[in-house]
Amino acid sequence: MCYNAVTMVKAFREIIQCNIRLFPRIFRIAKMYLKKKNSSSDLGWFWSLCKPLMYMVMFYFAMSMGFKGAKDIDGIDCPYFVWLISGMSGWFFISDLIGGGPVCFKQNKALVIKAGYPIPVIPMIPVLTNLLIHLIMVIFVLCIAVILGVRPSIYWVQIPLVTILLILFNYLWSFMFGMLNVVSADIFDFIKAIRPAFFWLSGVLFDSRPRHRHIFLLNPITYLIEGYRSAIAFNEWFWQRTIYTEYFACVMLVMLIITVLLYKRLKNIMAEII
Amino acid sequence: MENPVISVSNISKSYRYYKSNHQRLQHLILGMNTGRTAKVLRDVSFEINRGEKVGLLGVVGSGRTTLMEILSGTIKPDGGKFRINGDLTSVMDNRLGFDNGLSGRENLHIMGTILGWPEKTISEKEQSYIEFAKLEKIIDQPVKLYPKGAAARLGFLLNTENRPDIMLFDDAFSFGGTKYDLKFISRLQKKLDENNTLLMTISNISVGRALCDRGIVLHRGRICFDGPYQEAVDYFKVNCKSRKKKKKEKTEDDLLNNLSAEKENDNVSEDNSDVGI
Repeated sequence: MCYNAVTMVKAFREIIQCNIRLFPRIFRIAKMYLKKKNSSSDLGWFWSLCKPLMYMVMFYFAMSMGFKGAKDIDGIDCPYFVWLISGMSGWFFISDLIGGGPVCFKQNKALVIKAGYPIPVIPMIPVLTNLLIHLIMVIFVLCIAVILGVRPSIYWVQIPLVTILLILFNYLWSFMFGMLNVVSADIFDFIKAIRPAFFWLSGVLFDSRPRHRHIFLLNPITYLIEGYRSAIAFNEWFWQRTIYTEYFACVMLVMLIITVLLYKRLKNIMAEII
Repeated sequence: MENPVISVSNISKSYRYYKSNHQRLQHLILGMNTGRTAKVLRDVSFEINRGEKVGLLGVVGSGRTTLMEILSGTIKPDGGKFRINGDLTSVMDNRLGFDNGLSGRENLHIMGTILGWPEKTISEKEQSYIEFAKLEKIIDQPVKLYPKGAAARLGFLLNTENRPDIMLFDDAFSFGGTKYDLKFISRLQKKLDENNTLLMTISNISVGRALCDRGIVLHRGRICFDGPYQEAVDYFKVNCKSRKKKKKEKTEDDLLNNLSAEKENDNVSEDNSDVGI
């Protein structure tokens, strides 16, 4: 028992150390991959941003015209559009990695097999690639909020904190399911199957607060999305919702333990089984 | 006594094969003893001293690549120990990280980044690489349109720019024709001096002859010869044949035997008929 705990701590320390040591190189690879992603078209960067923006506008019209009462949200200090896009900016970051994260090892197998990169840094590549787009998106949302009359407040300082939580969640998600996906391809099918549930039960499009709030908040993504909304739309600190903060911390801890256990088990044979 | 830069002692390695994904899952996650194992390396031991240029000879499946992967640190051996004493560069793939849809220039930058080169250095070297690899006319075209071996030339130049103490090459000498092969091999020869150690898998005996002074023959996971390169080649040619090749030769021998037997029978019957007449 004690031995297991020690080896787990060692594995955890290894994960952290690898990421710190190779961060500059991984960051450059992520930038390069982003360039690669956008290189097939002349307006590459524009399309990376245009797609989520189009979704935001489309959902705004669909929700405000198609669903009666969708725009009536209790306690917001801003227009409905700002409430909608503040949550959606977080969702797009997660959504790209729900499907893209678990294939990180298969997509970058040359880095593990041929270049000998340590396993813990591989899931950081898709996270950083998508983070760059996400940061632009967050700045865009803040600009729109200001244009539509929202005044910057002290609560905006929690935005970087929510972004860090998003990075951690996405990293653990990509790492854990990436390793499982190497072991069994069924995992990827499972993720594809549950992906719509993550979206519709996250309260991205409608207010999850009035009814069935507990069901929505069982989805850890809701907590992250509401983090952005707390800062921009509700003017409150997101960690004030104590029970949900504790629940989210538990989810992250469980994900971390599973990730470390899998890493401990697979690290020596990863290059052979990819 | 010389201090070896690569010291390998009793290294063994097995791979596990599974009949189904179910078995694979049981073994990898639950640690159950499912599937069957196949030994790839069996108690391999050798030492390489500073400045030696060693070629690994063996048929496909003899364990050469596995040994190189162990020495480069990407996979772990099941048993035994190895020690590397010095800076090591392993070239396991000349097209590391290459994307066929991107141009050679873009791929050069991606690969340089993966190898940890600063962006400035890649940009500085870019033009000289393109000229040396004779890719001026097609460098901005997608790699998928390149002739065979052309992309590997770029990768090889990037991989061998630095001169570490020890270099490992696995199947890295195919550049799209003898002309290019010779050009690149002579470039590598100029880079290597008595302080650089080289260990490479041999897929072309002439390339090995140009670069190596010692040969190690690996057969079915065991070292069966270790000595001067030419002697190793002779030993390899006589003693090591893949099962497929042996089977093919056996079939050819059987065929020849049958043919000659038939011919003899014909001759005998012809003789008999003559006698009969």
